[in-house]
Amino acid sequence: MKTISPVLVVLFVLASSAIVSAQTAVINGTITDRETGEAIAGATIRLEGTQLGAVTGQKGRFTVKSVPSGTIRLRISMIGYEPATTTLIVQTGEQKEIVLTLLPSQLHSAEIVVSASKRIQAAQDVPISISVVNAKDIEDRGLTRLDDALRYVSGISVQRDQVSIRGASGFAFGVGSRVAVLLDGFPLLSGDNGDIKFDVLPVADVERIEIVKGAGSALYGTGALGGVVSLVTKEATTTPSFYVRTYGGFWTEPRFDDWKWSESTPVLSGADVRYAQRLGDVSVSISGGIRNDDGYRDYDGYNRGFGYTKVQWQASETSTFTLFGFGTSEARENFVYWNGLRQATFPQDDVNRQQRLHTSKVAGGLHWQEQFTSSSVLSVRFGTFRTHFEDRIAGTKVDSNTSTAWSHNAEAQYTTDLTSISVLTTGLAVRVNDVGSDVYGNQIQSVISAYAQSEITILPNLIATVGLRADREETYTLPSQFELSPKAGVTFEIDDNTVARASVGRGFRAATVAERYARIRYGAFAVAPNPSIRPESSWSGEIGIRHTTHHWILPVEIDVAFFDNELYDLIEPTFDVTSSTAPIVFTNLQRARILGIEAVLRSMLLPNLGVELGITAMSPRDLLLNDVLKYRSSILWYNRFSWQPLSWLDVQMDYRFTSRVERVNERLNLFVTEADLRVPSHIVDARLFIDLKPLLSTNLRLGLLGRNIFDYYSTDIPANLAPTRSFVVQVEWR
Amino acid sequence: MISRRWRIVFAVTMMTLVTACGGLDPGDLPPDSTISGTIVFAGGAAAWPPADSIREVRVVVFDTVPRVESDVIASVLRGTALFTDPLPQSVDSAVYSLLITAPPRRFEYIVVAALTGPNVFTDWTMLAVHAPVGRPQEPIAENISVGDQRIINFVVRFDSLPPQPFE
Repeated sequence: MKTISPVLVVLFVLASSAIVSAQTAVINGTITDRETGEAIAGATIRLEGTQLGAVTGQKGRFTVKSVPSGTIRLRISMIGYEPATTTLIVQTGEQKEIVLTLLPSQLHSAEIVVSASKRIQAAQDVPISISVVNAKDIEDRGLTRLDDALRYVSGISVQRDQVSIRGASGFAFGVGSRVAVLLDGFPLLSGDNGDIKFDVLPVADVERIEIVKGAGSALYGTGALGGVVSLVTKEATTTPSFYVRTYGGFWTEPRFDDWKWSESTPVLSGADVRYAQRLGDVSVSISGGIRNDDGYRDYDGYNRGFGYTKVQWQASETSTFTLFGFGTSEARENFVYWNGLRQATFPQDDVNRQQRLHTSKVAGGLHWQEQFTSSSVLSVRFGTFRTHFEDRIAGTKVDSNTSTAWSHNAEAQYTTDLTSISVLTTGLAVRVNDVGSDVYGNQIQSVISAYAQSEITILPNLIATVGLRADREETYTLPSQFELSPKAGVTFEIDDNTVARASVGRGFRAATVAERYARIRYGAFAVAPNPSIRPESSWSGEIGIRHTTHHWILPVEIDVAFFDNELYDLIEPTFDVTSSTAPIVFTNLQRARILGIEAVLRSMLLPNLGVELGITAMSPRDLLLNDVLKYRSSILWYNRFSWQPLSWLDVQMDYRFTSRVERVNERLNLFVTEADLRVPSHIVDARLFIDLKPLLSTNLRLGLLGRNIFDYYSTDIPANLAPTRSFVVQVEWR
Repeated sequence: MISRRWRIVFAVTMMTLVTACGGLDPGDLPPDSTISGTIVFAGGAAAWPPADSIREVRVVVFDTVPRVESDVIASVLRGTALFTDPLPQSVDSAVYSLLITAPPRRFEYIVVAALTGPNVFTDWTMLAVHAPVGRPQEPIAENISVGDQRIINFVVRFDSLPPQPFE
């Protein structure tokens, strides 16, 4: 059978699209604060019905090129301001200059997102629940790791590096993420464990984190069983941006004498530096940092260094090339399980305390984007992500626990208007995981995919989305697996302040190399291979509504969603009691259902006192056993308060509640003392930031941060005390 | 007069303060469940066989009687047996203590076991069994409840080992 080369497809698209590129206009503009008249940097401008958009620079300026002639509608959004729209008429070849003003609002609404459909969209047009954490949220909270940013997103629980969206994941020894993670569109799950490496993500460079809740395999393929976490990095502007942060702090002494493990106070410290600037057609972002932490437990410290760089070349009015690279290196003590609750801050007795786990992660990639017309965009990405870990004693490698994994990715995506009311997104993707390990053996896993999605504006206030993706996964000598992942959704704008949505979609996750081939001792357990695991899959559906009003007693934005996640063939670690040594094997075990409701509310209790509340109530059921699904909490609840009594003073308090995990694997208790102990979790973080600019006439900010300030003791994964209380002083200059 | 909004803020803050203190507390744990005691080696240190014939000695408690040699390690790996760290050798007596995980549990076979060869999976010999005096073929089962601290002493006679459980 003859096949059409992807290269020919790309060339055809290039040739056919160049014809219409001349019939366009340019819009230049400035966006300012309506009350103060000051320029607004970072505002997002989007041309409705097109792929076009821009972000304002430091002086509030923006430029949108390749604008089609005729009547166009601009949608402008910015955190802290009410969204605005305006209609313009532009002529072919025209250079239009406009000035827009935005009205300040404390409600964080109407974000622009790119992850739900792999193109720029208003969040309200997305038929599935999506949450956004902005750079301002990250900076305001002084976060040093991006997983901390996810802890205050409704429906998400984070257990170490494992993220669970609406209960999709339980405790799986850290392997096999059911959430796809992307950085500027590049997949970032490791090639062997298929896990998330939060420590490699560049905190200072992240513009926003978008979290798609629910199966996302129709666009993102394997791994997006429970959802997608997509990080979008900042764009450099012509005004140079320089940012320095340093922090230092300590862990407080435990309340119980038996838990005191250090004669001296354990400390933590770190620093970040970032520089970014656009020079002509080239923009550069460079950042890096260090982290040092003694830990709150014995044998739990680490030292880490990391760096990130992105170079973007605007080769022509329509062509952009982006080259990026980043990496991290870490040496850490490896606390696996506690030595019982009485010694919760000590590892098990048989741990070799001279041993260190050394890890390194390096990634690099190239992204070419060609804007053929106002509505036709070709995007081509190549990238690779290398992860490596090994145990060392006194600097010398120990052979029993080593793995190097390369995850190579390539993707071509083409988005165009099919008609005046429909947008088509199509793509081809290839991923190859190449693993060399004394734990997993030498394995090669490949996934080849094709996808298409169409959004149709049926009525001015009614948008329907349908999509389908096909994936073929193959691991070494095993039979290949074929997966089809459809999706459908609809959004209906009831009025200017109310949007309803409904969606259904399929997700799947192919077993990782680690789940299939691991032969390792993990703490007290032996893990044995099981190459015959099938992919796990899910169907998730939801109905939701978002309403924003400024006319009630309080200004309020509320989002409510009902969801149903049907999970099939879930890959779970279990003890193989049919084997004489009862090792842990990963196998397709469960048919599960998670029904739930999620509500997010944002309001201003007082003019300078904002509150955000998110609550997710779920019923996670194991349908085969007719019992509660293991390692899931049924209530996730967070509150955030922000109080700005003075223009230079910001006081914040966050409260996070997670209900007690109802069911765990009781056999863990046979190996690890009190491994089944668990309590509800009540964590309060508090922060105080002082803007020193009025005093020192420079952009200096001082922060005092307290985490878990009431020193609440709980477990986050079995037999592991969650982080206890710490206090940090932070100084930022920009 | 305090406004209604401030009352809401105050109430939420107080609720948070009340709930966010506490959590896990080792003081809430029941006392450990243990089996401990003394092993007396009849004839004293001089009665021990040559040093290279016994590689290690441990007290092992089994949920059920192991019927093949490989069941010893397999039971430990399955979590259905527990053993102590290696005990001192060529001594007159030794003291042991074993923390019982996940009580309550029933142990049908409690022994002093020796690794007598290079193969940790097969080279096990029982040196003494928890059984009525003079009837080593009738092991005594023990039910260990939460907080139980059971004392079990053994006498090892190298010249008169108990019947081995293996078929």
